[in-house]
Amino acid sequence: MTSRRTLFVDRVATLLLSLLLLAGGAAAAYWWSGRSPFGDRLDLAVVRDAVEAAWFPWVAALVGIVLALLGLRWILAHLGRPTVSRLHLSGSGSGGRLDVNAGQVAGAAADALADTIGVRSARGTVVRDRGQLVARLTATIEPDADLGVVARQADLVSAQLREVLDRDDVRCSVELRVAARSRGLVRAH
Amino acid sequence: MAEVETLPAPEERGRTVIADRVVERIASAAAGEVESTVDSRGGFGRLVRGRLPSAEAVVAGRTSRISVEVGAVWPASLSQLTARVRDHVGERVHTLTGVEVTAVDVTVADVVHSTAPSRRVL
Repeated sequence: MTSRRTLFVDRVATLLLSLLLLAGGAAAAYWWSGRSPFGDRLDLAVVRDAVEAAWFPWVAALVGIVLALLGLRWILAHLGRPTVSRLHLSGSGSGGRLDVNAGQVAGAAADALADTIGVRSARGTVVRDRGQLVARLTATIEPDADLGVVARQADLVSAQLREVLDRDDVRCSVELRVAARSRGLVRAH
Repeated sequence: MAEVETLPAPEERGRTVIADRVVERIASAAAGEVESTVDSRGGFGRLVRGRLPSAEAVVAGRTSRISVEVGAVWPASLSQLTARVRDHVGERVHTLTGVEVTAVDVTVADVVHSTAPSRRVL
């Protein structure tokens, strides 16, 4: 999960790159059509002079280093751990700090969701998703589970989580995955 | 008849030092008295991470600062629970030791969802 700023940079970079490729393709097609004022041959003397100049290797090396550093920074921006470990609770002040282990509270919410008929297992974590605190519950349900029951329980657990944390800025996201195979009941004979 | 000796003033008779450990034990016990707190750790977890509630305290003269870790039952309101723990721990430590508690930091280290009643051996 990446920050909102990184996503913005991603989108701007993709837009610029696509515009550059479109402009290059259009210019190549225009030149290929024979209507270009440059004629059939391009005069690359200016480029050759620049490459052979004494300053060119140094400038090229400097630009290369800067681009490599920017690239590394860009990659690192996508590797940040989004998991939130602690959440402050309302009531913290000079008398003391009140907080909760975020993973534990999300885990308890997942246990509450897993305690539903048709839900095989569930796990929970709290992440920071584009500046927003999200308690993400991921549940694996049986292929023949009653989705209405599971959805009602998911709503109930989300409401309970809001009451437990007493924070308006924490959203709850429930993702349901359907198990590939049904786990049949063991029949006693 | 023997003369009645007049005792020296209390501050001249000696010093009373409250150890950090004393405040920690009182704070742990007080935190456990609050409703909806549980000792959720058992077996290996208790061996590695210790029991809940647990407390750490720093006593300097007649003042102290305490950090308490508690376990809570889902779906208790954690802000209310931690506020109750903070107030109760501060009050109990002050009453029993006379040390003024400047701050009590409360962390909910564990939240348990348990619908099954504990096993009973009949």
